[in-house]
Amino acid sequence: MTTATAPNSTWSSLMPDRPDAMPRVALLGNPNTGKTTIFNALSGLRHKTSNFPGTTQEARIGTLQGAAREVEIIDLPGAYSLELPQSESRVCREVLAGTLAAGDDAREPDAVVIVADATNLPRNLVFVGEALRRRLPTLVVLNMTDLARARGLRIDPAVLASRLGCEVLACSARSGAGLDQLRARLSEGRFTIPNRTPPGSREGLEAWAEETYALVASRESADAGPARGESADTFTDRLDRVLVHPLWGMLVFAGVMTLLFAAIFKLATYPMDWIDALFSFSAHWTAAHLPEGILTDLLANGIIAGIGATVIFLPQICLLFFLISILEDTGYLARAALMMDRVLRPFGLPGHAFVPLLSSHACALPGIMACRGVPDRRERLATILVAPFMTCSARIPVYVLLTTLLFRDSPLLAALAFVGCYALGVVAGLVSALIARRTILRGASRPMAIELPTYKRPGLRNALSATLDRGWIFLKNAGTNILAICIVLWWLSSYPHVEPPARAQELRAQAEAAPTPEARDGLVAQAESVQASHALERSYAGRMGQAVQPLFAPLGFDWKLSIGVVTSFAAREVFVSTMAVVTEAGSDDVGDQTVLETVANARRGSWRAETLAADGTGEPAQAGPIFTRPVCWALLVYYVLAMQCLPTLAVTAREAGGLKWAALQLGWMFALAYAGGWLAFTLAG
Amino acid sequence: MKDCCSGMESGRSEPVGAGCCAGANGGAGGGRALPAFPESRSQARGAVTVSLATMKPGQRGIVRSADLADDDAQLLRAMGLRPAAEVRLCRLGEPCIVEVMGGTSATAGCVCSCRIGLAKPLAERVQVELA
Repeated sequence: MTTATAPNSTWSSLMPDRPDAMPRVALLGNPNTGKTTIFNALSGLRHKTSNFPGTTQEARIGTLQGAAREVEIIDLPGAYSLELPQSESRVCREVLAGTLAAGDDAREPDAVVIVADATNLPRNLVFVGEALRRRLPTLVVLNMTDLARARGLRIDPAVLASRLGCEVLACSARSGAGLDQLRARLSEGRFTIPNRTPPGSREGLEAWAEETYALVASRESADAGPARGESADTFTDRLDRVLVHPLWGMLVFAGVMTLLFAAIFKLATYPMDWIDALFSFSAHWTAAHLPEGILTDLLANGIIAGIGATVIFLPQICLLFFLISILEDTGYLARAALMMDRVLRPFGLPGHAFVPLLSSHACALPGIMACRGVPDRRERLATILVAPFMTCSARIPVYVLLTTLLFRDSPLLAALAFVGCYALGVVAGLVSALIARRTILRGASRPMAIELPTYKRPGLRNALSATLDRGWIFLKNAGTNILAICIVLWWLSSYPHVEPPARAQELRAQAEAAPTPEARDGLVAQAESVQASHALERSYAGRMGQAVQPLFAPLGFDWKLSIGVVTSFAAREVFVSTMAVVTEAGSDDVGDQTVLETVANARRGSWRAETLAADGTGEPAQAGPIFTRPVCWALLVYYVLAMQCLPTLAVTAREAGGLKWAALQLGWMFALAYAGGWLAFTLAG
Repeated sequence: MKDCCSGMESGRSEPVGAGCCAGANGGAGGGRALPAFPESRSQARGAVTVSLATMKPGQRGIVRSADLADDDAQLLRAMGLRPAAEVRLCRLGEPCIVEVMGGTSATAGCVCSCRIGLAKPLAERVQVELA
């Protein structure tokens, strides 16, 4: 499209002392200017995400794609001004000054690309002015020129360039117009150090921006513009009024959230089934084809199962972030946050906490990391503390098992109980936030001010990029942790090795003499289940479960359940597979009726019962089922509220800035879960 | 538009102005070079100044002052809600939505603006001179 001002320097003249170093370009701009769309278009979907050291701001670093020269592009956080005390503003300031970098190589960027929104130029020009005062080689990208034209507005890039004293490139990142030119410019590396210095005072800068705008902007045509502009305007007005309306807005919000979660549950099931099948096949294959022994056991049941346990959550997490990103791109998410501000503020949380809390419904890890967007420190800490109360993907298998056990004849009631768990998590989180804000995090609530971007069609590339980012964060933070936890758990529940129990040997003996191969296979499988359960009971994990059982006795948990609680301490989803082993179900597929039957009929274990069994009297008659109604309710409430996730605690400590916050989160959630579980057990009993 | 530009040029540079700005700005002071929100003094004679939260939907006005904590005032100002900016109220109530009009005589009628959603406690403290 249009460019102006003859360039006066190239990468080679800009970087005379480092001819081989990769030039570094900082991408700068107000929020909602399409900066991220431009970054994604320039760098493709391949980029690294890390933190600026000492800050919680994310740095996205990409390499210019499809260009002759490798150029490093840093996507700086969107900021309204370079002079604000907010952390995103500070990061921009320090990166431009060369005192901060995502890696350890802090230096001034070799060039700055400022993205300005053509439909909101007066404000964007104030920011451009602030950046021009840094006197770095600069290129101004005038984005959304197509939208401006549709509103009857014409901006003259040539006049703007001469006024700013640097090159101006008009483009539309959404349609892709002008991006090739931007790519070519970056590859050539021709940039001008602006030869004008806008005024330094705020008033002066605002006046300068206003004057500049008056010089460069004009009406596209005498008659067409205003009418079209006004009509677009009333459309946005009407939509805004509905979407933040106390009643209609809430209904739309409820509808959108229902669709969001329905889509996640429906669509994520398929890839989750495939992943499950793939990993259990690999584990079986490994166990069958490698020589029997500790290493094979570690590989099959520790490592492969551990990786599978992590990857299984990816579909739900990726899908939720994909959909959140789509909602954000349309402009709806800002309206939802604004409306939720009114709902959250009585609990001492700002509207900014909405997206982190929504994200926590996939996984608390990216949710807690999204708390960086909460500007006030106390409000941010409160949001971090309560984010793990939101029902994450890992709780779902536990909810499914328990609600199915509770309402085996009524899928509708089971579904209601399932939804009730989500609601309980949200309510517990909000009340906890209120308590925290009234005690340890006391302070005035900061009312929300948020820019409401123009409604637009979402871009697929942005959504994919955000999804890859979040998925990677999960794998990096949770993956390694969960894998390590799985290996430790495997060891705890497999050692010390014990002799097979008499009953398993009996069953095997019967299998030898079985008349048909089917009967033999059945008896062998039964023997294996009995043996696995026996081994778990006597393993370190089993002993730990038995040791803590008195603690959980008021909740109605026997030692078998206590083993489940102990093994799932570091990752709650482990509960289901542990229960499958303890109850000799042989499988954790709760959709399978025979498995469900076995779990439902499993008998309580007690030391007395064990002694009786050892005497050869078999299953003691007085032992009732493990999963009675009160126990199921107690477990359900316990798992909604308890902090049973080690990776989350690690991320809380990091993001909140101290182990004490993680300890507080753990203690508070456990206390609440224990009290809630006891209450549920008592009320249902 | 002429009026408000001259108002801005004559605006004082110290962050804490007299009158309604002084109250809440007190101790906060975390900002850097950004002055918070001085009162714009060039009010036309007889013009009515009301808070943003008492405007009617669709009504336009010029922002005159904001009685807010430094942090909030600076952020709003950087977002475009600054002294002498022309605003139009889109939705009254909680939350309130305003449109900041960026326009000159050359582009009159064209929409070059941004929308800002404000919690009521903020909107109540922004004073606007009705157009």
